[in-house]
Amino acid sequence: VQVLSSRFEVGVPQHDGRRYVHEWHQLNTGEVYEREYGPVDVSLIDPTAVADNFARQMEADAAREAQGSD
Amino acid sequence: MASPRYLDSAGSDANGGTSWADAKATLAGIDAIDTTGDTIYVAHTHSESTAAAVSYTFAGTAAAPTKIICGNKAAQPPTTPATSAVIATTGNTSGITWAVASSGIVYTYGLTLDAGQGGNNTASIILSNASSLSFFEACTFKLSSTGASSRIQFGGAAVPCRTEVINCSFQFSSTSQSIQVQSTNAVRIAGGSIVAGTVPSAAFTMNNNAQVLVEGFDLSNCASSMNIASSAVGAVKFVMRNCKLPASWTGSLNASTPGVGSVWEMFNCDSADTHYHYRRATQFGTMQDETTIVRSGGANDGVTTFSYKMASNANAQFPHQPLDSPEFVVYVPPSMVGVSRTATIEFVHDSATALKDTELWAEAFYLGTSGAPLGALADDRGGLLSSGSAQDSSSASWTTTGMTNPNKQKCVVTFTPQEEGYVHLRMRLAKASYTAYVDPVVTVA
Repeated sequence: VQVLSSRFEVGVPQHDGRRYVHEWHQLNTGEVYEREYGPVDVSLIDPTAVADNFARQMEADAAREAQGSD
Repeated sequence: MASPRYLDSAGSDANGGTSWADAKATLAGIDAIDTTGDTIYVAHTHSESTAAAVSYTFAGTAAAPTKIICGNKAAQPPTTPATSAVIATTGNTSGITWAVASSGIVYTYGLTLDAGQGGNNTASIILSNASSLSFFEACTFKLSSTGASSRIQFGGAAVPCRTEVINCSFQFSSTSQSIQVQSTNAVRIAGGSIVAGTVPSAAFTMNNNAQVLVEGFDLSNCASSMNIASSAVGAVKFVMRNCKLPASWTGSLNASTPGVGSVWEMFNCDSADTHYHYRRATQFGTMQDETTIVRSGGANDGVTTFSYKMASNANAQFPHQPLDSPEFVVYVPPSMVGVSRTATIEFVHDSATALKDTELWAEAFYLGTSGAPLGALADDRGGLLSSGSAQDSSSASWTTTGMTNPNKQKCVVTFTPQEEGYVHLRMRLAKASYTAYVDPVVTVA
């Protein structure tokens, strides 16, 4: 699996001021993988870097899973 | 015949292991002579290190389990437990396998198992690799191996084991390492933590049919990007509750789409002092708590009102592939028995078009048989071959911040309880790639 592009959207503040962040990752399979993380204080993170890091990790995890682990 | 055995690195494997003065020097020396029902006392000063891989198979059975206990050797047998004994391997590929005979049972207290010092190949710690029960308390599992494939592994492949790990520490030397649960294994991790330092990018690696309960486990030393797992395997039941997460956690409960029949849940886990967080991931979508889009008078943990955000994925489908909510349970008292009742669950979504009963519905299992605890199913699902009808509109008051077309509706299930007792309800979202907010408060009238 390769992630061709990623984007994100920061949600409305939750009760404690933290927010959920929604990510969309366009895969080379044609699928779009979505996830939502948080709630998190978005002033303490870089959502672009988080999305990029997640994409790279997803590629690495997929490669490892393809090798089999059991 | 069951005996007390004594292990002390100050001893010798030429000894009989019958006392501290006669202690064996290595666990392999003890393992060579142990019998069912043995209690193996390990000196608090014990520290052994072997270049080669080590594999132990203890003789314990259900009737006469093996107990391995680290204790202060000032007394014989020790009267004070300790947690300072170390069993290590130093080879590049030298793992530690901690097993018991098939159908056997072993209990281990206070040991550090340290595998593969300095090596960058695979040197894993394998706990219980036969069909067996294993218990570990106050132990440390340490991968000194820097090999990316090294792991702390529960069970052997496709061998049913039950492993319980109480107040134990997990230590890693590569971000690619993890706690791996083999197929058909059941694991409970209660208390303990992942030790600071090099921490895994994904804490758990799962295999098919694994059943895992993690509670009171401290993950706050992990990186903020740590995923609990990234797993597409099937028939997994994974539950985390009352755990501490890393600060500013940006990871996922499952960074993949769960496999067939797998259910991943996280209850009350956070880095902040909250008590209402919930996450769920299945093959057909995800759920999480929501504290802005909530119903007035809706679910509340005593401080914070919350709802559940249900987000189906592209695979959700009517009637058999919905994203299911967790169960909402409500008690039916004797005064409500024998008369038709309605159970109502409120929801809101962002669309001028109402959700139909073929897209989102409620299902209730109630005690519908007089004289027996036999449950019966009721729901407000649309007909199998129908095009569906809009679920009832609702006048409930919701905060709908961020919505363009908030549409308030409700599911109403009619049923006639024949016995007092609990009704188990769940919401089922079958509309693909859709989001709805559900108040988990069930009103029975």
